[in-house]
Parts: sequence; C-alpha cells; structure tokens
Amino acid sequence: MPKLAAEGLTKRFASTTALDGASFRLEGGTAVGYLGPNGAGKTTTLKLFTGFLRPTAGHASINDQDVAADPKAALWEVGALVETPEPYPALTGRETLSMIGEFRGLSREQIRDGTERYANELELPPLDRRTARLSKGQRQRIVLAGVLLCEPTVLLLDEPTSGLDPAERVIIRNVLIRLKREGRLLLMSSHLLQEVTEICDRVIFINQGKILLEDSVANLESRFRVTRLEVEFARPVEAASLAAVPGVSAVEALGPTRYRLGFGGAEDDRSRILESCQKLAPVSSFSRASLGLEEAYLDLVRRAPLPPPPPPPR
Amino acid sequence: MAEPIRDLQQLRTAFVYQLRSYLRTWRFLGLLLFVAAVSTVILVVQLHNGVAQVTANHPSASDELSAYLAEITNVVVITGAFLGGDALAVDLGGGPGYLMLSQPVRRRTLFAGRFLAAALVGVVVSGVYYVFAAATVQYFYGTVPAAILLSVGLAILFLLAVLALAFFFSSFFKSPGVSIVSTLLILLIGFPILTEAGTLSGVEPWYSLDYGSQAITSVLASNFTHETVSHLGLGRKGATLTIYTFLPYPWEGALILAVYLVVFVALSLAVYRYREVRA
Repeated sequence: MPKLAAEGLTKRFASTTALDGASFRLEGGTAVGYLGPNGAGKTTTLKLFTGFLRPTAGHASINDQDVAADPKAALWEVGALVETPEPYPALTGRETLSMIGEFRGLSREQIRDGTERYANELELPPLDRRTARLSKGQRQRIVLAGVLLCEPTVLLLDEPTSGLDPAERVIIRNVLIRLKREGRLLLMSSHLLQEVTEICDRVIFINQGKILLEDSVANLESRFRVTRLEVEFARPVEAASLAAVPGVSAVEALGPTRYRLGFGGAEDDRSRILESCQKLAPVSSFSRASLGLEEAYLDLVRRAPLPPPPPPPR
Repeated sequence: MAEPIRDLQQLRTAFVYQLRSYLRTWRFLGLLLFVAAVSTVILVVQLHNGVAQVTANHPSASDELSAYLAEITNVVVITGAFLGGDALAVDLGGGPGYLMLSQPVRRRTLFAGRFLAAALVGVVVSGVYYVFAAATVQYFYGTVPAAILLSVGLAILFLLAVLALAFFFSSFFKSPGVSIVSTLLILLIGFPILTEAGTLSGVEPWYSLDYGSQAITSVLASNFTHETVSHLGLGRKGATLTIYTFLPYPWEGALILAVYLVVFVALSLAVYRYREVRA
C-alpha cells in the first residue's frame, strides 16, 4: 500500500519559514489535493518529498523510506512533476523516455510498450523529434509520460495542468483519474478547484507554511455551503420579481437575462427557487455560483492572519 | 515496478545519454573542428618551412614534438571547460534538473557517468591533436619518440584534472554559460598568473595546475632542466632582476595533476550532492 508521511516537516530559508511543522499521513489509493495561495508552502513540501530541498527539521517519508536519508530508495516508486521539469533538449522524446526507463531498471520491452501506451493515451507529439523543437505543452506531456512509464505507486504533482491548453488539461485529468482508480496515491497541488473536485477524494489546505485543514472533499462540500446561485432566463426578467421569490435574500444583475441570487444554501431552498424562477420566465441555465471547495478555500484563507510585512529596504 | 537497480547500471545509463548529448550538440563537432584547424595551421607552417629549417630549429624528434605540443594544454583546457562546464549546472538551474533529480538515482552516480562521458570525448578531441603531432614528427624525422606515450598519459591526467575543476564550477553555478566562462578564465588566466608568480619569487609553483601541466611537454625535452636561474641587468647601477624558471619533473607534474583531480572531484561531488534545487 503506497504511503506518504510528513512529520513536523519544516523548511526555513534564511529568515523565512516556508514550511512550519507540517504533518500529515496519506495511505492507499487516493488522490489528495494540496491547496493554498501562492507562497503558502505547497511547492516547498513537494520539493522536500522529492529531495530537491532538505528539511530544516522533521521528516518526509515515502513508503516508510526517509527521503533525506536515502532518496534513491524513497523515490524508487515515485513519479514526480515538481515546478517545470523539462526534457534534455538534445534528446528526442523517445530517448527521454528510454533514459528514464533505463534509470528505473525497465527492460527494453517494458520501455517500448510503455512508450506506445502513453503515446496514445497522452497524444504525445512525434517521438523522434528533438524535444527542443516541441512546444511547452508537448514537452510537458513527454515528461508526464516519463513519470508514468515506470508505473509509480506514488505521484507528486505540482500544478500538473498549469500552462496547458484546455484539450491537454482534459487528457491529463483523465489519466490522473485513471491512476487514482488503479490504486495509486496522488498528492497534487493546484489552483484549479474544479479540477481538484473532479480528481481528488481529500484535500489538505496550507497557508503561510502551516497545515490548516485536512478533510475529504465530500465533507467540505457539505460543510461549506454555497450560498449563491446563477440563473439565466430565455428573456429579460425584472430584478424586483426575483427579489420577491421566497428564499432569495439578494439579487445581483449580471446582465438583462442573467442574475446572481443569494440564498440560505439548503438544497430544498435551491429547488424551490428554481421552481419559482421557471414561473417568471423560461430558465436556460441554473447553477451554483461557486464550489463548496472554493467556499472552504476562501474561508480558510480569509481567516488566516496577514503575512508579516516585508523588511524595509536598506 | 522493477526492483531497484544497481548504481553501476545507472552509471552506464548516465554515461550513454551524456555521450549522446555531446555527440548531438555542436560541442563535440566544434571542438573537433577547432583542434583540427589548430593542428592543420601548425602543420602547414611546418611544411612551408621545409625539412631543413624544421630539423635545424629542433635537432631531435623529441624537441620538435615538444614544440608542436606547446598548445596542447590550451586545447585540453578549452575542451575540458566546454565539456564539463555545464555538466552539473544543467540540473541546478531548474528545467531538466527537475526531471533528472527526481529520479531514483544517486547524484554521485549521475556525476560519475557524466564525468566519464566528458573524459572520453575529451580524450578523443585531444587525441586528434596528438595524431597530427605524431604524423608531423614522423614526416620530418622518420620516427616518433616513445616518450609521446608518457606525454599522452600526462595529457589525459591533465584533462581529468581540468574536468574536475570544470565540474566543480558547474556544481556551483546555476547558469551553464557562467560556469563555462568561469572555468576558462581560471584556467587560461588565473593559473598562469599563479605560475608566473613563482618565476619572480623563486618559489617553485607546485601549487598551480598550470605548472603541473607543463610536464606534458617537458617530458619530451632533450635538455630538461628543473630549475634555471637567470639575471637580468637593470640600468647602470648594477641592479639585476633574478628570474627563476621551473619545469616540473614528470612524476612531480603527475602528482600535481592527480592531487587537483582528487581534490576537485571530491569537492564538486560534495557540492553537487548537498546542493538544493531552489530555482
């Protein structure tokens, strides 16, 4: 069973504490979103798990192997995409995948089969072209193929779809969902909460180097109710008519036919509001204005104390 | 997932792909063309001078070979700097490093594979210069001194020491370009200044890599003298400037080169191993 654990993990850079005693333990086939604003400590955590950084205090361990003590053993079953990994520009895509496979001890047949598999699944660019001649998204997909080639049980992903176009995002999201279903352990940082909601079972919130909350996505969705709805009518409707709908506490016009409505957040109220809206005019769309995860994120970030002011210039 | 493989197999992989990278880029071809051009120019000048003048200038094949190889240290320095200058820096500036250093490979294994690949390419490039030198001496003197083998051995040791120094700079800098330029500056300007300081002070510059490298040609000289002292008159009042010229014994040169090799391999390994990737 894949395992990932942080115990009092701390990283200081000069006077800045990037990660402050982070502790969590993840086990089994699951996908965990690692969420927080820029500079919260997400990438620092992932870098500590991949040996790019050494902890100031505490331990990062993967499958019970301490990363700092024996990175080779700890990273043996890990596939990592941290920051913006790039293939060596002088090598072709195929050579990049072969090199990674050989470092991982895969046979030629395993490398060939894996390359063919991910060439199809990730829609890789021509593999006999040097990677220097590929687009950023194409290089990123080759790197991801290299990460997946060795069938890692643990995946550490730092904003894996950042910088990709929508079609590329869909491809990678589908692969990540498949990996989770296959029993891999995924820890992924992301700012795309919709994506996290679709892929992840659990989330860890971090801000200013401290872990604020760890919970399942389902729990958070129920705890942090969405209190805003967006409704679009087929023809213009008076705002006053909407304000008179039972259960609606606020009305904000987004356009002649689009409105944002405030309500209590209960599912029953939502259904009743929809029924009332349909009596006013044909409804062309009716949805929550945000995600439960987004509400949770904003709530936690707002509650966190402001970061200390930067030191005055000398 | 396969069982963890041995460091030796991973070293082979690091070696093969580094070699492929050198062969793919302009560096190998560029260095080869550079050496071939320098060698050709020397050969053409010698041919233009003719057999009579060449043999008059250098009575023995050893002296001719020693003179021909006067530029071998520069060839080795440039070759070593371009091959080793970015070998580790490429990982420390982000990009490829984020791919490579997240693999389950010990950094010392990557280091060793890359060092061996750089050494092999460096030997080939420097070897071309030796081939030209041997062919020229064979043409003019009808023989090639056996001491050329000792010179080749010392040149290889010098190449390894230069690579160790280049890898050391490469482990410090994030920018491959800065690393290559720093290596060149230190080796082409810094060390010769250190050696010259010995000439003026009368202290044998055994501490200088440049001095150790002089054994590559001094091993061929027929009139080898370890220390020469000359006095240069200054003005009318009888003041003189004493100039000391030192040439290392072959064993001494080899020892200096070996010490540089060991020390800088150890230092660069330590820096590369403990260096964090923050870029």
